[in-house]
Amino acid sequence: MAGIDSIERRRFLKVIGLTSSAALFDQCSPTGSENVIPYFVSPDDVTPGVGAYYATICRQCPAGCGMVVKTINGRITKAEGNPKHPINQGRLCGRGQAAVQAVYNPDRFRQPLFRQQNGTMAPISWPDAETMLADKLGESKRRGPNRIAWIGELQTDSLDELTAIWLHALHSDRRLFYESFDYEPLRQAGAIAFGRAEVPRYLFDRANFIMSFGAEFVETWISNVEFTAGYSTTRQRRIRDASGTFACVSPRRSLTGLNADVWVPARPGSEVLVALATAHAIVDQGLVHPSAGAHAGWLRPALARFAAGRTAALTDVSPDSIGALARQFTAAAPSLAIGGGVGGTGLRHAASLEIAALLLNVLAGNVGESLTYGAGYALDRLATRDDLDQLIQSTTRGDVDVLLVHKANPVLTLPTTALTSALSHVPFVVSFASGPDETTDYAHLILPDHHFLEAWGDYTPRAGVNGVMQPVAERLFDTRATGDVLIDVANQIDDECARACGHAAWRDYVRSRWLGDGAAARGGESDLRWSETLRTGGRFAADAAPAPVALRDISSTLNSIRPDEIEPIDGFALVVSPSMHFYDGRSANESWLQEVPDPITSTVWNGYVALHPDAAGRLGVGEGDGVRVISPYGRLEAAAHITRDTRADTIAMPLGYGRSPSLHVGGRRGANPAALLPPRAADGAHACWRINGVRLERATGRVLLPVLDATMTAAAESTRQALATMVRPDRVDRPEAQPHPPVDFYPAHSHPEHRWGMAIDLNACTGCHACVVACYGENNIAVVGEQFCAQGREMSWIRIERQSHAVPADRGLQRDAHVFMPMLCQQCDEAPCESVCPVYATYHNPEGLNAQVYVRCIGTRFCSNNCPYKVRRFNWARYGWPAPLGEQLNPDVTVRSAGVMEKCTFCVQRIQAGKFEAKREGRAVRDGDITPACAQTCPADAIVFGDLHDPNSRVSRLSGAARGYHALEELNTRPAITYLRRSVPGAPDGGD
Amino acid sequence: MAATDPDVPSVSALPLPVALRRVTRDILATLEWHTPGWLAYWGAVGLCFFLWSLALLVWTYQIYSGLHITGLLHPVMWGAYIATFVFWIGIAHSGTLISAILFLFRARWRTSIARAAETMTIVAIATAGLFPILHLGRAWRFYWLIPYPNERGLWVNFSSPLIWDAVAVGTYFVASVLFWFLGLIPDFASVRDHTAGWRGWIFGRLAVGWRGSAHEWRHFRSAYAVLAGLITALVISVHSIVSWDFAVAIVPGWHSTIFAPYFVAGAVFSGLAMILTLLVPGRVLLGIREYVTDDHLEQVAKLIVAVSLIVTYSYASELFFAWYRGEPAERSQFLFRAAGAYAPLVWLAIVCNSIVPLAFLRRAARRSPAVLFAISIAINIGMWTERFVIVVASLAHEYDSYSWGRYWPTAFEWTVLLGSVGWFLFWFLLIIGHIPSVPMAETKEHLITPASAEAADS
Repeated sequence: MAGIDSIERRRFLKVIGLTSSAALFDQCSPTGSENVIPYFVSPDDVTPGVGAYYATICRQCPAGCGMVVKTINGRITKAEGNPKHPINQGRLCGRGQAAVQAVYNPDRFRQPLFRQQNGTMAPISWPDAETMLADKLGESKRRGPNRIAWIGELQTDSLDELTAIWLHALHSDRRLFYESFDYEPLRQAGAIAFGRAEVPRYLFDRANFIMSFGAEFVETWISNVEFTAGYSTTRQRRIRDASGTFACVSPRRSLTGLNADVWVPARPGSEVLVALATAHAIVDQGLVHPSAGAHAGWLRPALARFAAGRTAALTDVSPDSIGALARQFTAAAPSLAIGGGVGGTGLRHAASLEIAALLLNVLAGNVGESLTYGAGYALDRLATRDDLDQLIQSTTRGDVDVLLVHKANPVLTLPTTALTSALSHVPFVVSFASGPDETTDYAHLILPDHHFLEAWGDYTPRAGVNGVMQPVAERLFDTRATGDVLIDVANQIDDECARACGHAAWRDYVRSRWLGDGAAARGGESDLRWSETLRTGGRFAADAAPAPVALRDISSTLNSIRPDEIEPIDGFALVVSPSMHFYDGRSANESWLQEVPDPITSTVWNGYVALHPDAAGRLGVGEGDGVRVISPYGRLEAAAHITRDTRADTIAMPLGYGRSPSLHVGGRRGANPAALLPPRAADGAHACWRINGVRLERATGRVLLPVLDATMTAAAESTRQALATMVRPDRVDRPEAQPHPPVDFYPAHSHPEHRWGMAIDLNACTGCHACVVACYGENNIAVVGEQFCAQGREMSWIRIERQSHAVPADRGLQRDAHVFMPMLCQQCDEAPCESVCPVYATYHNPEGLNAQVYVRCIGTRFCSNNCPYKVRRFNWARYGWPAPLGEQLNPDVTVRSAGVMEKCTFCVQRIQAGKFEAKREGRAVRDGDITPACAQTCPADAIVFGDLHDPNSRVSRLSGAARGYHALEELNTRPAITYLRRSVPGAPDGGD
Repeated sequence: MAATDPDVPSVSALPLPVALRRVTRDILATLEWHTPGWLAYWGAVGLCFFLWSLALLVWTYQIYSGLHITGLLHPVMWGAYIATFVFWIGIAHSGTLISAILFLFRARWRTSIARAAETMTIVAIATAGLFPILHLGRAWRFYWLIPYPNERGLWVNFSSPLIWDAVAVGTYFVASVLFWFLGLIPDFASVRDHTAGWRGWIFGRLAVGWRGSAHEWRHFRSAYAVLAGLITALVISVHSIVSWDFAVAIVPGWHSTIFAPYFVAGAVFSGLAMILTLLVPGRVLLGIREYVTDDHLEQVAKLIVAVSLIVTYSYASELFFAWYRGEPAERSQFLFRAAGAYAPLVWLAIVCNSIVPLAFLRRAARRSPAVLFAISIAINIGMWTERFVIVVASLAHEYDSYSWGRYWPTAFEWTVLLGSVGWFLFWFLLIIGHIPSVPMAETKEHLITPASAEAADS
């Protein structure tokens, strides 16, 4: 064909170009070549670049929500709720969202470690480590029974069974499931009132009015995602109720308390009296529900001592308020009374408070309606402080040779010398933690377990909700499932252990347990059943009928509560509260959760002591000043945060700070308030989270406490009129009719196919910040650290603005409405940002989005200046992700470079994917096909996304609601987001 | 020495031919640096070079590490850089005002200072023009702001004030350079005629073959008048457009129709002050006190006090409308300015711009070089502060109180700011030291009155 004489110039150049560039590339790799080998036979479920979803269970806390985890190219990118899971029904909280960051946490153990003679940890191989463990265990088994102890994370099903068998084979029954929040007061109260020592089930969605004595049910308490959903359902249903749906009796408002329509700031420790005074008022005024009529007889004398008039001086709650609460509580039956939660668990009366709350529920006829027994919570199996003390004592006596710590971290929330010295007494401490924490500091051998997203397992948070866990990605490091370790070790110890535990791999152990005996063999029908189970995320039965319960005569218990025994405050009362983001501190090493502001204070990256302005004035402390907190049990220093969320005699500190220095993100931040607390309550086998007799001193210096909400620190410039136009609780009108059609300088945009829009219901939003964390995960938002946050350079595309509005006091009840307003790009039709960009980096796309083209942006930043909502974020520096955190990045979203502006685009990558999917199936996009990350995760279902062109879409219907308004609509930006006004009691007509 | 006619330099007392030769000799002497000023001159140039080299270093670091080295934050995305940009653009205004507008109004006193003022204009635009680039997040892509057919297939957004800005400033720069150069042609020819060697050659090229024929003069005069007319329009338009960078935005404190005249007045005001700042020491340094007399400076001072009153009026009306419009965000913004974090700066600006210049109502103040210099510095500071307040305070306190913020420039930004002063003075000194710093031809023109011509003829 083309001989040498017929070669053309072009062809010649091609050949030359190809050969010379090939020669050039040959030299390119200075460190030797790497082989990139494509899949020869690719796995069934991996399509490069396309997400695969796996169902599993979230183990960030004991609530046991179902998760669906998205992986792309074998990397975990995003966690979402499992819609089929009855607990969370497709939603997740911020901690659950951050689970993916925990997998890729740089601090994780990369292989087993053992403690050398000189005290430092050194790597060891798995076989050696297991042999070492087997030797120790065999030795102590021979020395006698009960010389091996297990303290671990709450387990049910497979690992529960295996550890029980395994320990039994080692002749030990010392096994504790340790959680910081033990719910023992609830169990104790149940035992006394109904003879059932268990955690009751709270059905928020069935209640019409909620009265809480401090329980953090939208944050951490029992099952916050489930409760948030139930609570917001009630709020929506009762939106026309001018008296409000939620009253909170507590000396300090947690995030849950901020959601309350009525705050009753009772004196710390006196909540039990308020509850009993309310009960007295109910009985006294004859408001008792017919179902409880039988109890009125013995109750009347038993409650007489607690009449509001007699206790008012002790509780600071007027009889009027008590009367109003009693009437509301009974009129709205079924209502729901909830006890003190964690922050309300004081040194005394914690169980009494729960009993009083149960009594209120009985009197209003709520038991069996909004509160039921027989739920079979896994929490019922938690160790009490009695169990723990027993273990500590026998350990200190030297009765324990080997202590196995499985994903529990008692030293964090129980930093008492009793525990730490007990740990030092154990000759051999084994930890299965997957990363360093306070307790691993005491370990002699660390056998890192997989992160739960890499592991097989199962968890049943309450009866009938059997969740199964599967690895969603290949394990990242040289870790091993604890189940496998236990089985291997058992086979090395002796025949008895080997027989008891078998020799199946952990995966098969879980599988055969799920499929029943004999189904361990692969293939056929059982494989199908198994894969169906894995797809569903477990086996979910309908709720069992509640156990019938009857109130016992508790007059002796009531008689034992003596009003004059209410402890004097003596200085300050300290409330140590669970953190929305860190739970008891366990999630503190996940940088998203550090960067996303504390929902109550909007502080980031550091702990604080919340104190009332009056107290701060007395002490001469300002925001961010160092304060020394001195309790009878310890002392520490922390930054002051001044707030009206507490009483003047109460201070509050969140858990999650003062973590071990071995944590690179969460370590060395603030102080751990658990050090200020006694090891246990005085009158029960439970932890104590609130004490009196705390002193405060001004410490020298200031602490870097970044506060993202400028209004929190700009008290002097309290000109907030502008804001009044944003969230108007009193606004009932639709915007007034325009005297003339709107006049615009530029021609109107056309949106031929879709006009994406959003409706955000402020009546439902609890301010939990799950959407913010979800946005970080979905959109590769950089974490910038405390210095940048303090400089106002955080990158979050969505923020939750907390706004307060005083509502006139009503019958002695304090009513200041807090509104949590998610603020994100409003995708304006007349966007101020678009017209000022000189290079079309931001422009109006045909579907109504204010698209942002990152590569086109040159960084004039005019768009941000001109954005009245201030939702654009600028990349002030090159941000990075410490390896291997970068593995989590979503490949569908650009990682922005320094010098460009970025913003929310309603998760445009999801919109594109949804449209593509619809096109592939040859149909139109259906309402609900596309859900941005924030809307997807919202536990309260406050965010609804969809097409405004479709008149039947949910978002269209909501956008037209009478409660709807646009933020700053006077500016004529015509946002695509409609906010639905919060129903504020006292404001005219709360309904739509 | 002191002439009675303030418009004419002292040489007018001499017989015309002597005076004409004297002018040529005096001005040419400024190009020769045998004076003791040599060391001062090159020392100043060197110091300025050092200053802007430092700034260059900072900018390099800023490009390398990102804008976080500035104090900028969410929500104050524009800070000292933009304030300084507006400041220098303002400085650029009086040059043209003096050259063009006063030329059209036949204010003959402008002649002596026109060359310095025009040079200042060009250099100030060249300084100002750096800042929008300097402040970009991705400065290396600045050319994306320029509308020209390109391989990127992208076009600029003409609805953005930043594009208007780029066009306006670019036009102004080109027109100012042309105007400046046109006026220099006869003077270049004079220098060429009196200089030998390579410098003569250079000035020969610059003089573009000027022979001084009547024909050439006729064309020159009409071209000069036409350009002066054009530039007059630009004086108004450029700063109006710069003000629209702000006024078009919906930021409370920016969104106001008064901004265009307000900015133009402010620009003229600051430019006049800068002329005093430069000329009071400069006329000594260059040895042109005979040409730039106290009378000339007094004229500038009179103009300053007049413009100062306009600026004060603008402040007052801005405040009035903030109240009268009744828009909460706007009111909040002005309360914030009066009492918020930036209040000291606001009051400093008012003192410097509205109160201190009132001293010029007294003749003694207008004629004292020391007072003139001190007040001109005060006005420079006041005007920079005013721009800083407009840019920063408005952004710091917008609609959403969650996103209020506090911005203060960092040491890096101050270095760049100082470097821009160095850059400005560097080029100003370099240029003014190497061209006739007083327009020779025009000065001579004023010397030739019917009376003096008659005397010379006789």
